Amino acid sequence: MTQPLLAVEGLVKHFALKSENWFDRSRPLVRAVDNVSFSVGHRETLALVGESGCGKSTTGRLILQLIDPTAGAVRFEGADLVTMAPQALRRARKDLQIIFQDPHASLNPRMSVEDIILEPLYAQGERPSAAMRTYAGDLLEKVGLSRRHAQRFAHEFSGGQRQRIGIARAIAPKPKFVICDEAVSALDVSVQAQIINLLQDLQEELGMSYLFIGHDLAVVRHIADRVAVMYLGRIVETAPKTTIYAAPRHPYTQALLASAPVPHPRLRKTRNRLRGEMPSPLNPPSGCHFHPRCPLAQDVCKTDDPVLRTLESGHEVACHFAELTAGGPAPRPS
Amino acid sequence: MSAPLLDIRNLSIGFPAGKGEVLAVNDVNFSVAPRELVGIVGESGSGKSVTALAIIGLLPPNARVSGEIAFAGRNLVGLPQRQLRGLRGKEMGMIFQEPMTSLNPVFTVGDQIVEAVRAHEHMSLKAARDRATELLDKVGIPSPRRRLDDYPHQMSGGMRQRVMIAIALSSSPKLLIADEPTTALDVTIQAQLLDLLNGLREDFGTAIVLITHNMGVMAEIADRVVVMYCSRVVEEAGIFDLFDRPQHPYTEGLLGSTPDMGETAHRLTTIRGGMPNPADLPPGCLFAPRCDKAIAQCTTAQPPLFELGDGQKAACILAPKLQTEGAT
Ligand SMILES: Nc1ncnc2c1ncn2[C@@H]1O[C@H](COP(=O)(O)OP(=O)(O)OP(=O)(O)O)[C@@H](O)[C@H]1O
Ligand SMILES: Nc1ncnc2c1ncn2[C@@H]1O[C@H](COP(=O)(O)OP(=O)(O)OP(=O)(O)O)[C@@H](O)[C@H]1O
Ligand code: SF4
Ligand SMILES: [Mg+2]
Ligand SMILES: [Mg+2]
Repeated sequence: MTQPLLAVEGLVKHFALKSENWFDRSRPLVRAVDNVSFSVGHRETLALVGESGCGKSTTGRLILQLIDPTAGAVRFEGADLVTMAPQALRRARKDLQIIFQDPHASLNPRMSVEDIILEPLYAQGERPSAAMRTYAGDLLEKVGLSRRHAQRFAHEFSGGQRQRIGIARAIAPKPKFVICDEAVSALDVSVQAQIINLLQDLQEELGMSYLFIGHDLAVVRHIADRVAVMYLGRIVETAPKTTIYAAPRHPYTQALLASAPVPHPRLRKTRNRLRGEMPSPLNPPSGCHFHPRCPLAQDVCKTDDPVLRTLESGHEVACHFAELTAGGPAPRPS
Repeated sequence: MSAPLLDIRNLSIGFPAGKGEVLAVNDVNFSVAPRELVGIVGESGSGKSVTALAIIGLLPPNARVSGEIAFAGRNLVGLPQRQLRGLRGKEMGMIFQEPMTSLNPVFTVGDQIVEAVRAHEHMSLKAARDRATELLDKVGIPSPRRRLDDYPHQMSGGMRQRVMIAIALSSSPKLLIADEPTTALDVTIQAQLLDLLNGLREDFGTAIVLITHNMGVMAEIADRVVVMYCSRVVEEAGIFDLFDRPQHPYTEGLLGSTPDMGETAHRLTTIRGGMPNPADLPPGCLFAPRCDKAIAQCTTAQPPLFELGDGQKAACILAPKLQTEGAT
């Protein structure tokens, strides 16, 4: 088998919070990412989905080495970014870009849009020139903005326009790998469709790979080749897109798909709800993290961690009873 | 229907651009009754957030506003900041599109919720912290007590969004403006949040203006929807009419571009072309250059919002015709 473009191995990130009081020296740990492994191939899109706060953005930031992992390796084209010398890492950065979840926080308020977009290229030693400015204008048009906007500042744009500036910046250096963290969530459906088509065109032309973090299951269904489902810091299921949507096997994935809203007012009451509350990453449940909310949970689920195991080629599930979940809950009405 | 709580009349908002001015909002009219939930959808950059900021009185100082924003009978346009500040938080709440624009990075989220709670109710610090914990719990943040001491950057995107929602829920405003409140939230928490919004309406009669791109959310909760395109309102309709018989081709295009769970087509449907340059608008209907139904007449004059019955309105010259044809 050929080597994947990116391979994440046993990634762990714990954040220490403040102690509750002066006497209590134990600093509570947020287990944001808890032994996560996956790989992304050339020209492949892996979607990462899961509940708010389950560790998706942290995983993205760990891959780019924006924060240090507690443990684990991130191999990009075979080399571990975690242990890489700073200079080599700087060179690798050109091929690794991210579209941040919060555009407001990630766009420098004092830079013109043109400079924001070209910044990753300047960081690689490119010099400002007329050709570069033309290139920035081309990128602005590619994301549905106007080249006349090049000298404006980020705060003069709407939320969705800012998000598209972040997209233009990420694709500017023609990277091999882009992390799209909720990259199209601020866009209306028509512009969203244009951007998704653009990302797919770039993938075809340049062979880009994407880690696509998203909440909108319909969008994920469209763009992904494979889907990884995360729950409280762990991956609980991965499978090719068609398998995940047609035959999800982890009870959490099944619940997630069943609770997607139906875009029609006459179907208002048909949304199923996942019962129970999201457990805390400060104090995760024993055994299977999902057991307090799982309709299938047995005693063994409270004590033993289910490992991610292969059900069939390319389909991995972390559930003790994955053999019993085929068929799952009734499919959604359509 | 009861008298509107919010009544927006001929609202226009311009920003200086070069030597002239560009209108981000152009002659917008709509109203919201108590307890009603009016949705606003529309193309990115069409003026939804600017409209929201105008209502709450938080436009940047270089914005020029004309028209009227009547809130409980009082015109807010031109009201001094001091009076607007009095209304904000107490009578009007706002959930901003980007949480980091309104959360202060140097204070803990607990401090910020406590401040909001104590701004409209006298209570001890301890009681306010209990209330803050309760609010965080309500918006679905696990271990809420411990999370009070987090700084915003220590929270995930969806958690920050929920902190803002908790702050908006700390009072029981008469009007809540929620600008994309669920973009960073997974479907489970999204459903929980929609329940909270419905709860506000039922318990306190709160009127809500909800801006969202998510047609699933709109379908689930809105009574009425205002559709904006390029700084103007192009359609207004009850939620069922909007989905069953949209009258403006832009609305139709928008509904047609919604990716659905069954679709696996290679390319997503889009509305061809892009929004026109606001500094160089086409003559006539602003949607004409992208419209498949456009006829010669469309490019001669801007169509007004035609009343089509049942409160539905559309700014398309074909709409009234379709309507009469449909009726016969
Ligand atoms: N710097 C930090 N310090 C402490 N905790 C952190 C920090 N960054 C993230 N966390 C915690 O790690 C957990 C995972 O956060 P992350 O941002 O990865 O979630 P997410 O899956 O991206 O969620 P969302 O869908 O809401 O964006 C959360 O509980 C968050 O509060
Ligand atoms: N401070 C500002 N100065 C100049 N132009 C501005 C300013 N704020 C907004 N605009 C412009 O006004 C228009 C409307 O912006 P607005 O934020 O209302 O869009 P929106 O409908 O909320 O879009 P989105 O769905 O992308 O959030 C946009 O073209 C934007 O570029
Ligand atoms: S391991 Fe047990 S609790 Fe976890 S998902 Fe499977 S059945 Fe449910
Ligand atoms: Mg995130
Ligand atoms: Mg907006």
